[in-house]
Amino acid sequence: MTDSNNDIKWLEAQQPPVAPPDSETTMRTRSALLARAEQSRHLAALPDLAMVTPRRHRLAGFLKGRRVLVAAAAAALLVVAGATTAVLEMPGGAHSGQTAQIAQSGQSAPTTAFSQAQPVTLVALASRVLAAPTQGNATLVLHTNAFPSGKSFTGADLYLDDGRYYYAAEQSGLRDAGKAGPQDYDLKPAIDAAASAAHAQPQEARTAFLKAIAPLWYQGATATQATQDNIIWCTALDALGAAYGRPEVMAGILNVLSTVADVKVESGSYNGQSVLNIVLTTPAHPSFAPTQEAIAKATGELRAKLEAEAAIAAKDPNVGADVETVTADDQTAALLLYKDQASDAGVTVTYHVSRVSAADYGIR
Amino acid sequence: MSFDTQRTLVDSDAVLIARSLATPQAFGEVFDRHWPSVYRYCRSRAGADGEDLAAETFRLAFDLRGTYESERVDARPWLLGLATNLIRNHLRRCDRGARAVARMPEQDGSENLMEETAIGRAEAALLGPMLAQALDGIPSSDRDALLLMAWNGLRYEEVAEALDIPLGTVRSRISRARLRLRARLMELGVGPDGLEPDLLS
Repeated sequence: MTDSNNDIKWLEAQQPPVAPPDSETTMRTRSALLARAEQSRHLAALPDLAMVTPRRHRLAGFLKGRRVLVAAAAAALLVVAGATTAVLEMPGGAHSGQTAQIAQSGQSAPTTAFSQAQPVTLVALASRVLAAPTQGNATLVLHTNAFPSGKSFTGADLYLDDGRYYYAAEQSGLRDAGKAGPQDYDLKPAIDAAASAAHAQPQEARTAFLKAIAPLWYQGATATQATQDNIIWCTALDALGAAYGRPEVMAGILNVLSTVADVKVESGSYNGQSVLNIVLTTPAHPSFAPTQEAIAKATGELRAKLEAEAAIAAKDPNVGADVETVTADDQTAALLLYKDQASDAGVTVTYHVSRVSAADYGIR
Repeated sequence: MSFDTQRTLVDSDAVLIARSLATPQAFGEVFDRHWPSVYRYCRSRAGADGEDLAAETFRLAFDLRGTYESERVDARPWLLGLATNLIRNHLRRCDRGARAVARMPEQDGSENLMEETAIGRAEAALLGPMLAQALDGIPSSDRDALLLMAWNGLRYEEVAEALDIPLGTVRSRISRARLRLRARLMELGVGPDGLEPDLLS
């Protein structure tokens, strides 16, 4: 730098000090961007649909964004005690006339619902799911996403067990999607890790799952439990929708979900059906904000910075308790409903999931 | 996955952006590369709001990626240019006392200048009194060019990319801005502690 650049050097020195973005901020922003990337692929027909704003304190935005796009769906697995044939039907609704049916011989289905008096755990549900029959070679997910603004849209996802993925706005478009070839949507690492975790202890399942799905910086010592929980919660729910009907995968996902803090599991009913409500309550205290303890320990410039960050967080309108609820079939763990009560998103996704044969859509 | 990682490490931003047209998720790598610098720049200029502006920069970049010129290997100038526009608009919105901005007729056949030489109150508050005084009187378009160079280390060519203006215009803007800055520093009596003596000589 020459002397004549002293004014530039002075300017450089005057640049307000900025701490590097923390991992929480980076992860949240990146997730929202990738959710938008998904949106761009899935929502060409809805260019004016506002992007769902991610929550500041948790990666729920990742889920919201992806739920908006990927949205799985649910179907009730109607089982007959002692029968050797399992028939998949859609529950009543917009897609009820488009039911794919698969019959398989020689497989019995679970028949006993959880007792209302018995505490329900995801691990117990995992054991139940493991006993379920395997049918078809693909999971069809039809979804309707409704926003508080009144906007809504539908989507149809077809996840083949071999990892291929197809999307269309409506189920009727899947044949054309099949002709066009598989699209990029890589849940395979999550699904493979979940399958391996089916019989593992929950903490072991968590570690393996995290290792498979998360970039390195989620896994290191710098990532908080909340940060790791976030990506697990979001990815596990996506995988849950994509792998419906694959008992080992479903069981592994439930095992992993059981390790996520702040998750409660409650029995309930939905459309007359016995269900489990998996509730994630995000604490009001944002994990990215400095704690009072950290502030108290700090001195000088660092303390001033931490106090400033805490003040920013306190004013953040996005900070606050949030409740996300996933409603799942208490026999099969099939997703039925996703609700986010956050005021700025408030999306409700209704799922219709079924196991199908890819050949029904011309896919070999 | 490891193959992807190795591949993207050697891919240019232009390649990644082109790839993201067919595979939108590829844009995540562009984010990974440039998020820290865009974040720092936005926070420096817009304070706490800079975080949202940095995020908005990438959202906008994603939406505009189809217009990215493939010969631009490094996307950082482009991203910082988007950020600069967002910051400018943000500061205008924030500054309730901003004067009405009048468009000047085209000058020298090369540029439209905004008659906005007084630094806004919002911007002044964010920059701090010394820096605000030093930059006051420098038109916002000149300030943008100057700060892109000083705070991000962009070369003239990169500033031109960032602001989508001719190289000659960048030179004239930065030259004009530096002349005013030096004059302001002289007026402010920024002494040896803040500035090398030769600047005051």
